[in-house]
Amino acid sequence: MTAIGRLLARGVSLTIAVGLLAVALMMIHIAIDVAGKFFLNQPIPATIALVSNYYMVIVAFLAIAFAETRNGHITVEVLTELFPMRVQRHLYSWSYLLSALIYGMLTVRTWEEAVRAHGTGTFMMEQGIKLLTWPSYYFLPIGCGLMFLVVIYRFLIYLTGAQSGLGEVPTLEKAAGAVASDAGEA
Amino acid sequence: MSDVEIGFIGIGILVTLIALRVPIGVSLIGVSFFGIWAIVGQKAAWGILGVIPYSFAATWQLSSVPMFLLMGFFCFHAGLTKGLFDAARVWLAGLPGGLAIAAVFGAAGFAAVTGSSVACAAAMGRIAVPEMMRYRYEVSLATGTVAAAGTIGALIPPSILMILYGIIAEVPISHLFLGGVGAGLLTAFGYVAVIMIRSSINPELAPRLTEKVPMSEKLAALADTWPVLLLMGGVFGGLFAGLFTPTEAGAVGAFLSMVIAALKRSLTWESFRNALLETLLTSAALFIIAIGASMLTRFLAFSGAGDYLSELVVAMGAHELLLLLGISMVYLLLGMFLEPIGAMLLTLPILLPIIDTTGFSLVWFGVLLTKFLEIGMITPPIGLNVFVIKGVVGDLTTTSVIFKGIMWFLVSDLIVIILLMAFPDIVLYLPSLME
Repeated sequence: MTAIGRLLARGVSLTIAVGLLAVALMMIHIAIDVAGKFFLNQPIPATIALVSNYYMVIVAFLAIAFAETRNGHITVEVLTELFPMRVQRHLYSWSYLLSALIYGMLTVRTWEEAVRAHGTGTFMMEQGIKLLTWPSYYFLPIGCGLMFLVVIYRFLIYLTGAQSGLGEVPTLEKAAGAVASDAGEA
Repeated sequence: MSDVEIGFIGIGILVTLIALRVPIGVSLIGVSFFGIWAIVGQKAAWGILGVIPYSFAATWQLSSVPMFLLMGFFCFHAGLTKGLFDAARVWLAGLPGGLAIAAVFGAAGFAAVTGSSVACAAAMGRIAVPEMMRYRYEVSLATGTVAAAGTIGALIPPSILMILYGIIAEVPISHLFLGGVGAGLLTAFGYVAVIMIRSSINPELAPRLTEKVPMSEKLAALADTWPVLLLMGGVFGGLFAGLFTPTEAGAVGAFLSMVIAALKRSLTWESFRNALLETLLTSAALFIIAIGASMLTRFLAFSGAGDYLSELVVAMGAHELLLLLGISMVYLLLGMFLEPIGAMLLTLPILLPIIDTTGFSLVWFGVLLTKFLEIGMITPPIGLNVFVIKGVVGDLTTTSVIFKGIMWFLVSDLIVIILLMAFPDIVLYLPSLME
């Protein structure tokens, strides 16, 4: 089990690396485009299409599993934190199954969409430049699929009591230590 | 079972799931999917599940969210708050509660480079609370001030809440941003008034500073705020002059703040990577909820529950004031328990059709909504800003002491809300100049 977790953790690290690159490139790309537009009257072609269909799709979907391992998904604990710890642990763990159902369906559906877009060769025209967009459709099943595997894995760890190799932030200690890491929200 | 009934049952299940700590995004997507299935059929539900995630995320307008987040994180790591606080401090230290007032103005200045009230509170708390402690300010005043002042962060542009509202309500983001300026400044002046009145009545809360600062030093402190002024001018000058789209403004702002952090030698490889990482994490967590909210809007539209509610409101012949009062109560209550972006995305699909039947300006309502949600950041039992300040000050005090310090600021906030409702021009004047 631990080895599987390590493998998943490696998958998560890989998606983060791509995600970080996308955020940095998005900033630099747009900044250069703006500078080019104002100072040289020469914007970078297809910036809007590229930002929307590539950088944004990567940022939105590739980091879903990462957010899960960092307890970054937004939840409401007002009621459940009144429950005994044991009850909380069982409740939270079974909710992984619900997440798995939703992300599993999303994976299947977005995969179908990606294959469809691939088949028709979906593209976008911006100022006379043709940008192929179908490859970006594959980021959705990759991100949702990894998230599906991570929540299934967390559920199995709960069932078997095995040692997790995911290196995740434990769900129940969130309340105590989360303050600093939450500084990004809202 | 009628479609409207399915709609309301769906909302009931949604609330139950969220209360049981199922992630908000998963709850929204699940309930909307099965709800649409029950009303329109499996094929439509399956179709929407495949199309909405991509079509919602892959938009130019939404890309302003990660860019403004990134700008805020760079500014946070660049330590811009110290310059702002020091400048406000040398000029205002002579007033009753001068250091606390300086913290409010410092936060208002930092609000112009960050869209997050938690970041604003944390950044100002780190600088201002130790200083206030050094001059023997009462703990609840010192910590309450920075927790409350943080809420200005989401009112004065940029504001992540307003960007998301603008996208969902289809209102120009630049108009919302300009509208937020009035509400943010009013909030700041309200807080300053609270501090001055309280420390005049009870000088022990905030002992007067006796040190005299020479004018040359005062001017030097003012000059130290150049990074923020440069960012404000570059980013919002461009945005409000109509030269930049919000995304371009955010990207230019992020880029400039990165350069400023590098010039101030506060940009390390680690803080650079952290800023990117936090942007990625926050964006991913927000977008999955926004996608869910977008699906919920479809589900409620199919069910007719939204129309049913708005007809009900119209049929009741409720006075607009009564409606506003009702909405205020709902948000004050929600704000006590929910994190603001979640609360907004959950309620807008239900609320917007109702607001549409009234004659309210959507820009005005968006700013008012942001103000409500920000009040929720400092009301017990769940007040994120208070928890953040507690995290910053450590063992110095307890959250209940901070909540106690916030009480008087809440009074000021209620007055601000009443003023915003009574005089919508406080919000709408600046946006009207753009037209």
